[in-house]
Order: sequence, then C-alpha cells, then structure tokens
Amino acid sequence: MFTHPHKQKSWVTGVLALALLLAALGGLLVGSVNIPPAEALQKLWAALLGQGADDAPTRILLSARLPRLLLAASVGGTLALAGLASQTLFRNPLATPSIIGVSSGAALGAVIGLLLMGRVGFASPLLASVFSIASGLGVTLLVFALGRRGRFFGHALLLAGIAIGSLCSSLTTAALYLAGERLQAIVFWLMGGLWQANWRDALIMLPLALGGLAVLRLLAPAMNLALVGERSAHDLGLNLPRLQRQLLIMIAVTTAVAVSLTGVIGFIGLVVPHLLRLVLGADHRRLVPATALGGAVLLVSADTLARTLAAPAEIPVGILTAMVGAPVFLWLLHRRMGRTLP
Amino acid sequence: MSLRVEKLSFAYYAGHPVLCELSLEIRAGEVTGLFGPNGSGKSTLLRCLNGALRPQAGAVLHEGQNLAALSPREIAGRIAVVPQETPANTPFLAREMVMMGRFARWNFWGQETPEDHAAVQASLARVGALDLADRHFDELSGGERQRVIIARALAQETKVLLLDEPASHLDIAHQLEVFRLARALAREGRTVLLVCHDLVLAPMFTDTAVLLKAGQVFADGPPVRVFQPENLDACYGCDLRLVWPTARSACLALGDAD
Repeated sequence: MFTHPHKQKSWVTGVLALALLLAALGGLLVGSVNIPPAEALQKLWAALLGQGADDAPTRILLSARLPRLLLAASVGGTLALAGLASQTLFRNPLATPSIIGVSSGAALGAVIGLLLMGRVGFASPLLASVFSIASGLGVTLLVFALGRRGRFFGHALLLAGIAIGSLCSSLTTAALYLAGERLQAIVFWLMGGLWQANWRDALIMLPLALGGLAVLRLLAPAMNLALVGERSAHDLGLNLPRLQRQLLIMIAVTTAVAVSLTGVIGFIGLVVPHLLRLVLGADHRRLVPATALGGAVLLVSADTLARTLAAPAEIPVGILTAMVGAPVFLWLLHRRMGRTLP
Repeated sequence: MSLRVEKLSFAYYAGHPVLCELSLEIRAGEVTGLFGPNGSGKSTLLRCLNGALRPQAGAVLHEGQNLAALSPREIAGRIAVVPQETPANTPFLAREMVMMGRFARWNFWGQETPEDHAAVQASLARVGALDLADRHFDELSGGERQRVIIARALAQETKVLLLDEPASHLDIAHQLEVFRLARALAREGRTVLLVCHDLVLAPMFTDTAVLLKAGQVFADGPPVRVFQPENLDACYGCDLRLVWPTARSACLALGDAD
C-alpha cells in the first residue's frame, strides 16, 4: 500500500529548504515588470532596514510580489500537509482533503457568496471567504455525521465524502450557468490562483501554515503508529480516535481557509507527500517538515511560471500544478506497480 | 498479585455475551496459560486485559489500579501485547516497528533517546532477530514478523506481557524458543499471559493453566490438574488425554474411543 522507507536522509530537508530559498528569490525577481536582480535585492534590503524608498520597484516588490510569495509558500505547504494528513488518516496513499468534501464544499461556498453579492450589489472578497470557510467546514461536518454510522474511518466516510463532494462540484458547475458576467471570478475558485494575493491574505495564511506544520509535527510520532493498524495502535499506547479527530479538524480548517483565499489548487496534496515518501520513507517525524517545504517549493515555482509563461496574462496556477502533477503522479504509479505487483 | 479480573462481562452485541462475570487472578513471576475452544472468549478477555475493549460490567485491575481510569499511553507503559495478527502492509523497517514499542515513553517531539536504541537492540537480540533489523517488515516471513512483534512488545519494558497465540506462525523450534522466552521473562518477575490453542508444548511451559468455556473460567490451577480428561472433554468435546511422563513434560494422547 504505502511505499518503503529508505535509509535516513536528513540532507533531503536541507535540499528542500535551499530549493525554497531559490524558488522564493525567483518569485521575487521574476515578473511582468522587469526589475534588475541587483536593484531588487538592494531595494528589499533597504525596505527591511526601514529605509525603503517610495518608488515603483519597491512598491511592486513589497505590495505585490512579497505577499504573493508568502501566500504561495504557505498555501502550498498547507495543502501538502493536509494531503499527508488525509493519507495517514485513511491509511490510503490516494486520499486528499477532497475525499472528505472540504475543498469542493469551500469552493461552492465561495461561489454562492459571489453570486449573492451580485444579487445584492455589494462586493466584498471577505464575504466570499467567510462563506467559503463556513461551507467547507459545514460540508466536512455533514460528511462526518453521515459517515460515522459505519466503522469510524471506514468506507462509509469515504463514500459519504465522495458523494457530497460530487454534489458540491455539480452545484458549482450549475452556478457557472447563472454566473453571467461573474464567470471569471467563479473560474478562479475552480482552478485556483494567486493573482488576488494581498498582505491580508498572506498574514492569515502564514500563521495558519506554520500552525498546521507545528500541529502535524507534534502528532508525527502518533501518525506513525496509526499506520500499523487499529489494534496495535492501542496496544502501543495511542488514543487512535482522538488522533483521528485531531487530524480531521486540522485538515478541514487549513483546507477550508486555503481554498477560501486561493481557490481549489489540485495535486499538491497528492504528489508532494507521495514523492517524499518515496525518498524519505514513511516516518512522519521526517516526512512532515519535508512535505511542508516541498509543497511550498512546488506552489511558489508553479506560481512564478503561472504569471510569466503567458505574461502579461496569467495562467490559473491550478492548471499548472495539475499539468506538472499528473505526469509525475503517473510516473510514480508506474514505478510502484513495477515494484510491488508480482 | 499482578492482574485481577473482577466479575468481567463483555458483549460485542447486546444479548450475546462473550464473557460472563469472569473473575481471575494472574500472578507475577508466572506464565499463565489461557486455554479453551474457539469462541470461548480467550482473545476477547486478552483485549479487555489491556483496555482495548471496554467491558460492560466488572473491572480489570493492574496492581490495584483500575484500567478504566488509565489512558492508552499509561496502559502501554504497564502492559504490552503481542497480537494474533499484524497487518503486513506497513511501510516500516523491522527496527522502526520495534522502536514503536517505545512510543509510550517518548516526549512530545518523539525524540529517540540512547535508552530507546538500547532497548530496541536488546529486544531484537532477545528474540534472535538482530539480523532482521534493517529489513522491510512486510518482506519478512510470517515467523520472522512474529518475532519482530514480540521484540516490539519487549521494547515496551512493561511488567505485564500478554501474548495472543504467539506461536501460531512458528515452526516447532521457534515455538520452543518463544515458550522458553515467556518462561524466562516470568522468572525475571514479570507477569506473562499466553493465549494458546496448542496443547502439545504450551502446557509444559505454563505455571498456571486457565481453561475457559463459554466466557467463564471452567478450571484453573497447575496444568497437571487442569488438563484432566473430563475437563478436556467438557470444554473441547473430544476424547483427549494429557499424559505427564515426568512432572515437566506432557504428551497429548487420543482417548480410548479412537
């Protein structure tokens, strides 16, 4: 089911941290307005010391590229961690937060929020976000209530999640017909994007990402035990139902907030934990920090591409992560089948 | 007295009791064998003994402490279990599996200490599985896996060890090893409980035999006394005798009817 661990590879985390640094530099220095790297670094340094000049390059760097970079890194890390947590929660390497309906629920909430705003003629991105978070959490609760009749995290929960998730997706699609001139905004929630990034979003998401990382790192030893089976987990001293509740809450909250800010960005939660499990093994004490870094690297790089490949237009970043993610994922599946099937 | 079971009743479904007001005392320093036919409640009792199942009535006390008042982590620091089956699809190395026995002693960060590594090493050595340490758990044979799981229970360094048919996947030589190990652990002062189907080797290694029938203790005491033909007949419904050529070695024999 899961892939095998390999020898201790602590250098992987170092490499990922370095990659994040490089991706971040790339994200800051590349853009539709050309700012020479030396000048950009100098302006940033000056701003850091509180001596930032009030010129155009500084404004672009500080109020556009930097918050967007921080948002991309925190959303990427959060989505990857939520994916890892789902896979452990369900003991299934193909699980993602969408399995409990939270992402499609949050997207539907945002779309309903947008349509309502159109009706009452009152526009506030905050309202869409609030709708989105409430709907994501509400759908998770609904799925949980429907699914817990069977065995606690058994098939009933999966099936309820898939059913409710599909229902939300189809309602969102139906909303496309009602959207009229707001179509563009709805497409954003379906494909994900970071072009609306601002400091408020970044300052909501960054603490949440760091909090999610801390929570999962603290749960990491318990998550290892959750992989060896229900009975053994108890015998070894783990309160498994409590861990499952903690993971579920972590997944639902972080995913709902991330989707409310950037829409549904797919494949990060699936590909990043999978890839790192191949390299690092299944020990969550190593896997959790590496997954957060990996998700951040992937989304920061994908977003840099998204806003430069077709500049000055932007490609929704969800399209890019899927275009990069799907082939990588297929390659992994192929490798795995070669390894484990007789 | 180590483990005391007081009027324990348990049912998976209401109206179908598996254990009925079962009372039992399990002594430290001894190997206690839990015998009985399929469905007599052996494994259910064992799972109640470490709080994995919550009884509907009655209590299990370890050194006077009611398990119902302890967290899984506190129980795992007192009582280790070797389960009947361990799912093979786990992504860990054998030594990582054994290290999980240390979970109940870890700090919040899950930092492995030199004591943890020493305990893992010693436990693997004790079951003769040091050479398996760096193998993938799910690539091991059934018997090797069983030894790793026993090592994991030893790494918990508990006063009580509950083994659910620990010898079921093992050949006769490894069965002997496990029973000898159980006896040695008991002689060190631990409480060892073995659930057994086997009436060939296990009776020779148990100090006290407990025979279960329909969720109640049918007979308990020294094996020589418990495994009387009439008891075996009453519990298993077949004509068998346990013959004791010497005080320490038993032989299973067919009854006169065959």
